[in-house]
Parts: sequence; structure tokens; C-alpha cells
Amino acid sequence: MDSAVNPSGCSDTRLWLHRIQCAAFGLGISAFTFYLYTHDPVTTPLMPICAFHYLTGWYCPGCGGLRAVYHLMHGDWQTALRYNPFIFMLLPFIGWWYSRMVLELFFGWRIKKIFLKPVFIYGFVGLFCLFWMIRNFPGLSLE
Amino acid sequence: MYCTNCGAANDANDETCRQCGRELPDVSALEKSGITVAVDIPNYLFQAVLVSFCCCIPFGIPAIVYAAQVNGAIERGDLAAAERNSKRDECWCWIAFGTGIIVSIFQVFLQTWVELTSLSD
Repeated sequence: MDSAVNPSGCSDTRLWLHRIQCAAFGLGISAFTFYLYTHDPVTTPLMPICAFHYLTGWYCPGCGGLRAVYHLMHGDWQTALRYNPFIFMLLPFIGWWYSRMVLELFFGWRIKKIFLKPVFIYGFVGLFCLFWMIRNFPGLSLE
Repeated sequence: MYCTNCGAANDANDETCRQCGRELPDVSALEKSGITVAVDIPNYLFQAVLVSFCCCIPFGIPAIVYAAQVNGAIERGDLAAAERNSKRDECWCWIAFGTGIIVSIFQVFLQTWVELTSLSD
């Protein structure tokens, strides 16, 4: 590709650096997703654990995320929802961000960034903390 | 804002570039005349959310809050503050990422140790 389609306006060296970062991130995520697809987090000993849960015994907002993605990939969205409803909000966001990055870096598209007003971001943090608290009440936890 | 000539970072209210001395465009005057100036100050929101969930929640939250402050500062037109918060945001993302990596390495050692001790019993 030539520099005429450089969307970020930065130098070609930086563009290639961003492309390599983008590809490495994609490969890493794909490899881990494949590992997760073939290994049930409940029965596999070598799975990332939550340090917060390990130390305190409480659930954090991300706890159950891997189990949820595992069940989602096997088509069982009800179980996935029970393990972690929060990732359902997160996955479209990750998908959008990554597709936008690939289209800009490799295909020279120019996509307008969505400007999030601070109130939405603070709202997200509030929701995050609220979820953190309510999921630790007895009867509302994942197991 | 960044100098269009040499790329050095300047305060939003600077009239000339601190590094090369060239005159900087007057952002507020441009905005008054109806031209919106494109600002590209990264807020690292995606990275902040990602490290919160995948690496370390206690350090991910300040990263998300700083991302909100970057956007707040851009909205107010205070580009110097946006720039400052952007740097802090990036820093918190790295702290959260680093903590996540250290915890993961520790976990692999711990699990190997547990496996080995259970084998010898």
C-alpha cells in the first residue's frame, strides 16, 4: 500500500508499527478464543483466574466472563447470560473497535470516531460498580 | 496543540510554537468563525475497558475515569488538560496491563506448584 491511503496521517513507519500491533492483537485473541472453544474453563486447570476472587472470595464484574464466552461459542446463550451478562454489552464494543482499526489500517478507510460524552463513560463506570456489588449478594451470584 | 511545522506539543493558548517559534493557528478564533478543528487526542477508552476486564479491575477503573476526563476536556475546548489526562490514562492502562501479566505469571507458578505437591502426596 502506498502512503496516499495512510488514514492516520502519521509516518509510514508508525503505520506499519500499528499494523503489526493490530495483527498481533488479532492473532493473540484468535489463538486464545480457539483454546477457549476447545477447553471448558470449569474443568481445565490452566485457565486465567481472577486475582480479586482468589484473594477475597468475592466476585468481580469480569468473573465468569470466560465461562460465558465458552457457552456463547457453543450456542448456549442462556447459560452464558447467567455466568456474566456484562460481556454481552462489551462484545459488540470490542467488535466495532477492532473492525474499525482493521479497516483503517489495512484498507485505508476513514471512519469517523464516535465521540462519547463523559456522562456515558461515567454511567458505564457506575453500572460496572453497581454490578460488582449486586452480584455479591447471596442468591444473585453465579454459582 | 501540536505545531503544524515541527510537531512539538504546545499549550492551547500559546500563540507561537515553543520549539520552532512559528505562529500557531488560533483555535478559538477558528471555532468562533464556525470551523471545527479536528482534535485527535486519544482517550484509550477501549484499552482501559479491555484491561479492566482482562487484567486488573482496581487499576482499570482510574483508566476509564481518565478516558472520560479526556473527552470532558475536549468538550470544554481545554486541549492542554485533554493532553494531560490522555497521558495519565495511557499510564494507568499500562499499570493495569503489567499487573495482569505479573498476576498471570504468578498464577502459572502457583498452579504448577499445586499440581506437583498433589502428585507427591
